[in-house]
Amino acid sequence: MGRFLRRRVLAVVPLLLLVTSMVFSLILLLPGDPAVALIGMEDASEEKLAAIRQRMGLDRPLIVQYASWLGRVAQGNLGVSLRTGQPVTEAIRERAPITLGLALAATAFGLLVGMPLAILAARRRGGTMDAAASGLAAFGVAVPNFWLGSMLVLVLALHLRWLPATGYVSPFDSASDALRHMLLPTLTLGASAVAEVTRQLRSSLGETLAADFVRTARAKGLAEGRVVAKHALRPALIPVVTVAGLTISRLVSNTVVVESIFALPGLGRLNLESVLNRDFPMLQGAVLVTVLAVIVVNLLSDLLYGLIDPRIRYG
Amino acid sequence: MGETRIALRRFARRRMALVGAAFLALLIAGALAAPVVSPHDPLRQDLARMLSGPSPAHLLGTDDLGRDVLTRLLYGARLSLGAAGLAVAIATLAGVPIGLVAGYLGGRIDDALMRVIDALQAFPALILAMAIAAALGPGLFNVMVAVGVVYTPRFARLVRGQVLALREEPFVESARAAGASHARVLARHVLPNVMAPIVVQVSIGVAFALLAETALSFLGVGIKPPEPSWGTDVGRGYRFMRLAPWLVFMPGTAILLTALAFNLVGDGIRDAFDPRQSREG
Repeated sequence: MGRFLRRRVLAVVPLLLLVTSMVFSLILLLPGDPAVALIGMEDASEEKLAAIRQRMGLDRPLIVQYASWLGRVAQGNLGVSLRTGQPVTEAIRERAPITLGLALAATAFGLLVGMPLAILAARRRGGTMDAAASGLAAFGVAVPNFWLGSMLVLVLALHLRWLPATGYVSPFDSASDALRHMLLPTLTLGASAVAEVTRQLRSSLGETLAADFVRTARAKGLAEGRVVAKHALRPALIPVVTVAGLTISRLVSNTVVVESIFALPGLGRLNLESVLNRDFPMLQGAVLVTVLAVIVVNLLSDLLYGLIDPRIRYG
Repeated sequence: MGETRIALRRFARRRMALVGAAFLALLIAGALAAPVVSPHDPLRQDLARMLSGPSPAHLLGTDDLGRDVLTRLLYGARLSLGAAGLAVAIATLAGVPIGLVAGYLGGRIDDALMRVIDALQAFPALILAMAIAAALGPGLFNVMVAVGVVYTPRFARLVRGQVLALREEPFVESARAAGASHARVLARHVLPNVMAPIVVQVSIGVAFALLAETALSFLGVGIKPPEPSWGTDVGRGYRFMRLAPWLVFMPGTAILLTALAFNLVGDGIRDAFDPRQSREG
């Protein structure tokens, strides 16, 4: 296991270098003078711009600029916001926990609903449950989450008044209120996770249920529930874990939309706000932290993959 | 061409794929014929009739400026579908050559290209598209370039995987042995054999690009009003949701059905070309 671990973790190093250089290069895509974009003023005087270029090192070769930027990032210095002057790391520290909580809740929802649904569907291929599960999965993949979120607000918040429409309450202020405020965002964000889990697990479980070792287990006289739980589910989970990275990446994408519909001050909204404000240091910081989080989660799912399937570990 | 005809016949037997194709045909016809089909102007305001519900004069109601919702949907389809098509075209034109070269040449070139593709794929799609769009500046074209870049890895990976398998096939080796250049082998022998999965990916990619474009427009990063676009119309309607829920419901449903239709058609094409992967048997 040690070698497997080391190999996987080492493979992330070049990825990190490339990803950070891409985030850094965002600034190069800017039309016109990056100094203007960086201070966010169109009418700055030429002397002032020259001073900024020198201070920010924009007059030095690109590779030097990248290296010094990376050096600062490694020390946790992501610069300050052009709009508010707030340090970028501070803004991220405030907002990341909200997004993390939302993403974890949505993932849990996706697994808790998607797995039983897929099992029910796979156990009787072509049956009513199977058709319902496939239909739901197709719907979940195609539904725009801003539409789903709006509809949930309309029905559950505005008409039935069961839940608050928008806003954020910290769990440290009121746990029950925080929960009520997170329910609709979790449902909205989790819908695509349910679809993804159902689709993947249904098809892989369908295959393992038809395999010889499952037939043997049945022939031994094991109850069907035990056959599924003990024999079929574990190998069927492997393809699901393989695409977990993609699912999580999609989930993180969708937090931008969900947080803006439900007015949650999370990292997704920070990404959006800095895009709309053209606040580049904030944008670079928010994008960087988001993509690093996705990479870490992917690495963890990779390691998990090795745990479930010993062939990967020793391969 | 025999294979294509067989595939077409198989496609015609998939009910859901046919429903999807029929829906898309209708939608595209409606969008093209919008000026003929609808008596209204998508931009003309009629404040006397603002936020009125569905009625015989306005089948899907009117928006906050009294504009006909159905007419805006039809005109919006032009922009939204056109934009999605453009993004997928960009992704195809960038991703397919990368995949061909990486898979065919292998070695260090493959390693280098795939590392870049990995890195691109590490970014959550919408966030990368937003960041690129922010850097390039506002405007529909820039947004679609951004969505195209984000989707490029899918094509590159898909094509590379196919080419890796094809590279060892006897017909490719014999073409090489007969003295064909790399470019000729790729264009004449390899590319035609990866067309089917590319077509499937195009169909599914349009659904992705449509969802991405409408999400970006909804968030205010994409198409700017007053041009009718499905995403902007949902975003605008969201503000009037209590008074006029149809303003969100109608364009949102259009997006949902269209994305669903493209996915169904994509699944249908996959099943038609590769019955072994078929889920319906």
